[in-house]
Amino acid sequence: MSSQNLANVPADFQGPIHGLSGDPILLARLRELGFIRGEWVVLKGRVGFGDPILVTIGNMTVALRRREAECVLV
Amino acid sequence: MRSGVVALVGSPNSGKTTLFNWLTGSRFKTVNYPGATVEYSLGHSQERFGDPVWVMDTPGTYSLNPKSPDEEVTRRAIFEHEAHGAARLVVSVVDATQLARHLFLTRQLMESGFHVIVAVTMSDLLAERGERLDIQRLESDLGVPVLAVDGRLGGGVPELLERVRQRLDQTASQPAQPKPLAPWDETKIEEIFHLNSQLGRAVTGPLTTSGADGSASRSDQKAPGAAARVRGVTQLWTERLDRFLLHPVFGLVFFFLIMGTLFSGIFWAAAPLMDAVDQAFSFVGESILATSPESLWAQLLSNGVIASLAAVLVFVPQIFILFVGIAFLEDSGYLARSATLIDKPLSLLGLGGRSFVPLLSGYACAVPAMMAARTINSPRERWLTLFIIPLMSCSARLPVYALLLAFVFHGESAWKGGVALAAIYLASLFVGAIAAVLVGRFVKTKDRSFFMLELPVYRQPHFTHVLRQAWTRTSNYVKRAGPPIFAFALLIWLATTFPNYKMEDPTERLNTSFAGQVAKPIEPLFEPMGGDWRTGIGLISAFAAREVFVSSLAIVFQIAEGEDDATMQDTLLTKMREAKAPNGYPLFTLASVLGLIVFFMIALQCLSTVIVAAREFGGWRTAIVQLVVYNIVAYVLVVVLVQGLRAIGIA
Repeated sequence: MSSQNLANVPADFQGPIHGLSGDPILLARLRELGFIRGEWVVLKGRVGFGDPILVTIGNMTVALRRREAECVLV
Repeated sequence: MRSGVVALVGSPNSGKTTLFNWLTGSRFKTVNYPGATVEYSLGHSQERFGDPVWVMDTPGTYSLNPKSPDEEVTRRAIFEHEAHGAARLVVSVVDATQLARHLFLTRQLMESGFHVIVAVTMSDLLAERGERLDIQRLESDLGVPVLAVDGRLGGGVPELLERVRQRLDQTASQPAQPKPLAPWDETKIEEIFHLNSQLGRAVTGPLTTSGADGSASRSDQKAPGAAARVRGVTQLWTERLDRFLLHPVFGLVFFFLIMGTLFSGIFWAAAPLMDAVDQAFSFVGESILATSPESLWAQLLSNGVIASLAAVLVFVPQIFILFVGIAFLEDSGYLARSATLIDKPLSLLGLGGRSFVPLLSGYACAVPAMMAARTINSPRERWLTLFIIPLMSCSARLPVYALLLAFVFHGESAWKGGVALAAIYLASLFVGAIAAVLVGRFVKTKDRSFFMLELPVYRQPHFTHVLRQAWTRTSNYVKRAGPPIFAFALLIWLATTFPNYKMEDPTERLNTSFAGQVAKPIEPLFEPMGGDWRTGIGLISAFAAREVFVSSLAIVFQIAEGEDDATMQDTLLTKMREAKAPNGYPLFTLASVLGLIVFFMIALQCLSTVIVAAREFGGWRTAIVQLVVYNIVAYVLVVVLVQGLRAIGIA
């Protein structure tokens, strides 16, 4: 539907996950963490050095490197 | 006592280790590592809870398809434990507020064929939100026993154990025969996740007894789905604190403040305690010698055994304080955030945020630092971290630098030495960074490094838990590093005392000792670095522990024993100034002393580190390569530096 991913959306983004794409091992780990199609993610911001970014999913806050966030299509 | 092991399995932050601590009290055989529960711990449940059972704590894992060394440890420990076989029963620990995710592992355990009991933790967080869990419903839906436990207060633990014993007896005739699972594909994972989400929603309902907690607040209703509709105080506080602690600017300020405090704590707070340990051992040693100064056995006991014990135990206060600090950060929830904050700069060097605490620990001692590196889930980052840890300026180097800097800045104001010491510390950081980049080029591993770190809610650390944790890890250090340090210290003492142990004159004794016999023929090796065989003896004895360099120089240069430290240092400095090299020039010059400082910065002289490195690298090859590379690089750099300085007229 869109080519947006968690690494390139505006800072106040929130919305559902459309899908995942990238290195299969990375994707498996993302899924185990709860990054599943349809789940609602909220972008919380970046830390001081600009990377990782902070994301809330379910009741949990996760820090993702930019490279990892790029795998999450929104 | 029943046979077979009950394994606790759960995701990181599920409250598994806290539950384990409640189950076993303080009595568990610690096979765990600092930094987190890497490798497993084994213990039996406390007797006050009735007939004890064996309980195993495993490293936190998200699934049974391991993606990091510590997840692999969990998989192996429950499927094919070398001593106990497959776990008789698995207690799957799940966070009541994270059911959708945590039940994922539960279902994998069930599908693998384990006998499973679910222990639900963090019900207090649920209660804060004015919600409760329908345990019966969860139990009937999952088809396995479910119990709630309170990790904070220990509620529900006896009931859990009762149920565990019941299940063990029920299943005694038909033990679990688990089969490793094939990795679940995307469809299966999504299906299970949705199933869990639905179940989670179905079993979580409003508190009916006392009504919603007054402190719970309703957030906006925009977010659909299973996202938090209500946030409890803990979560609210976490969000408030994170606004500062993860702030783009203040976050880093706090980070450096917190780590700076920890760093100075391990030096300033530990210093008096370390002195006390040192003095206590010297006192005991001297008392023994005083009873029969002539006896070889008294010498062996005093200078050999007692002094070697002191070499092990003198670092215990510092390592304990370091571990108290780490356990405090870990329990509070800040440790994960500190790794997040510092990830970017470290990732530029090929390391990662999780490398930070091991590297910081390296400033106390490389041995616990290497053990702490087990928490790094990327093999490549872990390997690199292990490789550069010995470059961090550990506290055994401090007495050496103190002596050498006192030589350089003799008679000048004290601040100059202080600045120089700070420069040495910064330089060691710099050298570590260069080494990481250089070595990183040679390491050709498939880079599957990922960060993905869950940030738990902030919780108030439990003082007793923090202390117990720190104590466990400290005693692990003593158990693991103690024997090699002790053995090498003793070996070096033997080499510097025998064969002519009867000689009255300690200098003569040392000069003709095995160590002297080794050092003299290889004197040409020390000459290019501005030393002679006496420096050589110092450097050889430093392999027992770096700080031994100072005391062996004191022996080489005939410093009378029994003087207090300050006068001893002055006398030693004077003697060092008078010492002449074989060519008649002064032995210790600005150039040669700078060379020694650089040598101590880079050379891997600590044999205990090599032994622990061999364990952590998973083989002697890398550990030996590390030992050889650092010593050769140090030697070459020192020779270049000393000869270079001399070439431009600085002796």
